[in-house]
Amino acid sequence: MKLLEINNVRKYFSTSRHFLGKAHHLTRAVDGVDMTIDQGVSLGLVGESGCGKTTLARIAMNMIKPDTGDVFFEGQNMGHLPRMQRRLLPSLMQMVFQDPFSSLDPRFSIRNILKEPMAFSSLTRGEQEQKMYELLAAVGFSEHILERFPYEFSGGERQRIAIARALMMQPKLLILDEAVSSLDVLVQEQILHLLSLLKERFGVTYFFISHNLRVVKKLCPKIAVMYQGKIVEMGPAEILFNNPLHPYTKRLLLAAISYRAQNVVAEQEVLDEKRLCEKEKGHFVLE
Amino acid sequence: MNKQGQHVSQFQASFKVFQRNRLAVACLSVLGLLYFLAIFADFFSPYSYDNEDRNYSYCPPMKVHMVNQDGSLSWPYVYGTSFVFDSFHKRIYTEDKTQKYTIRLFPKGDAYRLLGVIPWDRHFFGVETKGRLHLWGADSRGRDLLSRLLWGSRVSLSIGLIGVLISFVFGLFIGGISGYYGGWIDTLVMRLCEMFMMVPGFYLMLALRAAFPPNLNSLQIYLLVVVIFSFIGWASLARVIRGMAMTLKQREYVLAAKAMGLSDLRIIRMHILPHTMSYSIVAIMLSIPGYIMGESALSLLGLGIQDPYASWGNLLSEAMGIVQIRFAPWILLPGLFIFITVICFNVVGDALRDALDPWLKAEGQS
Ligand SMILES: Nc1ncnc2c1ncn2[C@@H]1O[C@H](COP(=O)(O)OP(=O)(O)O)[C@@H](O)[C@H]1O
Ligand SMILES: [Mg+2]
Repeated sequence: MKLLEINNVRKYFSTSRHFLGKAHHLTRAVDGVDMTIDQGVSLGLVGESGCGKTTLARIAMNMIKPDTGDVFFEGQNMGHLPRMQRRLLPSLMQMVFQDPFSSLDPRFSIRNILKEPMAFSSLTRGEQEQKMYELLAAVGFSEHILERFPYEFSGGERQRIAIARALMMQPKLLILDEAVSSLDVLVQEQILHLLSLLKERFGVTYFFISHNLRVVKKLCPKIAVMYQGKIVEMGPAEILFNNPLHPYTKRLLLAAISYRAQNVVAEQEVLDEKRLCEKEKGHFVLE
Repeated sequence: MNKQGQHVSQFQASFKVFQRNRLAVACLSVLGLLYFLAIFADFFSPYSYDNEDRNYSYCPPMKVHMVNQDGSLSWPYVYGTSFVFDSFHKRIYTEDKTQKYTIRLFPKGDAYRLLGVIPWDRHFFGVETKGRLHLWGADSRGRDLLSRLLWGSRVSLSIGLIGVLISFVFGLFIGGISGYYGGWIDTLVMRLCEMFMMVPGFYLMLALRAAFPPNLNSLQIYLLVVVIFSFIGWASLARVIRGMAMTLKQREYVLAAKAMGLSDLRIIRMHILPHTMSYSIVAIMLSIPGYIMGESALSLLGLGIQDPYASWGNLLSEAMGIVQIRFAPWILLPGLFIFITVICFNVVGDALRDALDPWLKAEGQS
C-alpha cells in the first residue's frame, strides 16, 4: 500500500536578487522528483549536502509548498486538504530533525517536550501519561528524567528524546532528516539499532535521509540517490549496492566503502534531458 | 550541574552578578521604598493631597526641635507659625514659641481608605489638628508638600509601570507576529512602526492629548496618559522583538512544533516570546524612566494630571516661575524625586543587562 507519493515535485529558491527585484538566480533545490514510499518499506534518501534532501522532506511534511507537483498521503492530495484533515496530519507523519541541540526547546522540561504533541490528542490525561512512559521506556530512559532539561543530555540522548516525541502521536510515517549525522559513530550505531527496534514495535515506516550510504543501508530496504535536486537512482538496497548504474551512485559507494575524501571534481552534468528508467524490476536510474 | 535545571542555576548565577553590583542593589532598594511609600501614601503622609490652609501659603520647611527651651530633652516637636507681610507684600514666617505641637505617631487626621478598601483616619505621624506640620514646606495654597509628594508618587510611579506593561504587551505581540509570519504582514507592520518612531515622541504626545476633550476628570486623564504612552512606546520594542523572532523561528524546535500541528499563535507564545524575555526585562527597566518623564512633562505643561490631584510633574508646574524658585525653593523637591527615580531605574536596568548578559548572548545566537 502506498503511504507517501511524490509526483513531479519542483521547488526553486531565488537566491540572489537584484535590488530592483529582477535578475535573480535560481537554486533548483528540488527539480522534478517522483517517488513513493510503501507501507512498511522504509526508504533511505542519500545525497551530498545541498542536493535538496531537506527541502524534499519539508515538502513531504507539507511545511513548504512545492512550485509544481503533488504530494499524496494515503491517496489524499496534501496540497488541498480540508482544514479538519490538516489537523490530523501530525498524527500521520512526524519528523526528527538534524540538530539535537536545537530541536528541543531549552526552556521546556522533558515532560513538557513530550507532552507538546498531545495538545490536540483525543486521549485522556491518564492515557497520555501512559503513552509518555511507554515511549520513554522504549527509547531507553527511566521516568526520572521527566523533570530535567535538554541541556543535561548528550546529543545522542537528545535525539532519543526527539524520537520519542515524534512517536507520541503514533505516526505512520517518520521522516528522519540527517537524524544521526551529527552524532559520533558509536552513538550512531545505538540510535540506528534503536530505530530498527522501534520500527517493529510501533509499525512505523521511515523516510530516512542521510548523506551517508552506509548508515542508510542499515535501516532501509529501499534506497534513493539524490543529486542536484533529482533522484538519479532508486531501488532495493541490495541491488543498488551490488550493481550501481549511475556514476554518482558509484562515487557515493566508493566514498562509503573507502571513507576517503573523494577528490573527484563533480563535473557539471547535463541532467535535464534525462529520465528515470527502470533497468530491472524496481531499480531505476537516470539516463 | 544540579538537578534543578539550567534555568534555576543560570538564574542564580545572574542573581549573584546582580547582587555584586552594590550600587544597583541600593538603587533597587530605593525604588522598592518609593513604591512601598506610594502604595501606602495615604497612611504615610500627614495630610490628604487636598488639605489646604491658606494661612500657610509657601510656608517654609518647619524646624523639628528635640530640646525644650529649658535645655531638657523632649520628644520631637514643632512650634506654631505666624507671619507678617514685608514691604513687597511677601509673607515672612516666624516660629511662634508660645504654641508647641509634639509630633505624634499614629494621630487621627484626614479620613482615607487604606489600599482603597479599609476606611481609616490614622496617619503615620502628624500633629494635633490645631497646629500644622510642614516638614518639607507648603505650596501656594498651604498644602503640605511632603503629603502631596507621596500622593503624587502614586500617579508618577504607577503610570510608568502600567504604560510600560501595556506597550510591552503590544510590542511583544505585534513584533512576534511580524517576525514570525514575515512577508507582507511584516512589511506592513514595520512601516507602521517606522511611522510612529519617526514622529518625535513628545510632539506625538501633545498631538494625541489635543485630540481628546480638555474637560476630563482625573481618572480619565490618568487612563488617557497611559493610553497615549502605550501608543508611542510599542513601536521600538516591536522592531527589536521582530528581529529576534525572525532568527528564533528558524530554530528546529519551532519547526518541530509546526510539524506537531501547533497553531502559529501558540508557537509564538510558547517558543518565540519566552526567548525574548531576558531582553524584554532589561528593555522594560530602561524605558520606564521615559514614561515617568513623559508624564511629568505633560503634567508640567498642565495637560496631564490636574490640580488638586497631585503628580510629580504637576507639582513641579508650581516651580515654573523664577519668583517661586527664588523665595520657595522647596517646591523643586518633586524634581529631585523624578531625578532619583530615573537614575535608579537606569542603574538597575544597566545592572540587569550585565547580569543577564549570558542569556542575552545565548538568545542572540541562531
Ligand atoms: N529557504 C531557502 N531559501 C533559499 N535557498 C534555500 C532555502 N532552503 C534551501 N535552499 C537552497 O536549496 C538547496 C538545497 O538545500 P537543502 O534542501 O537544505 O539541501 P540538503 O538538505 O540536501 O543539504 C541549497 O543550495 C540551499 O542553499
Ligand atoms: Mg539538510
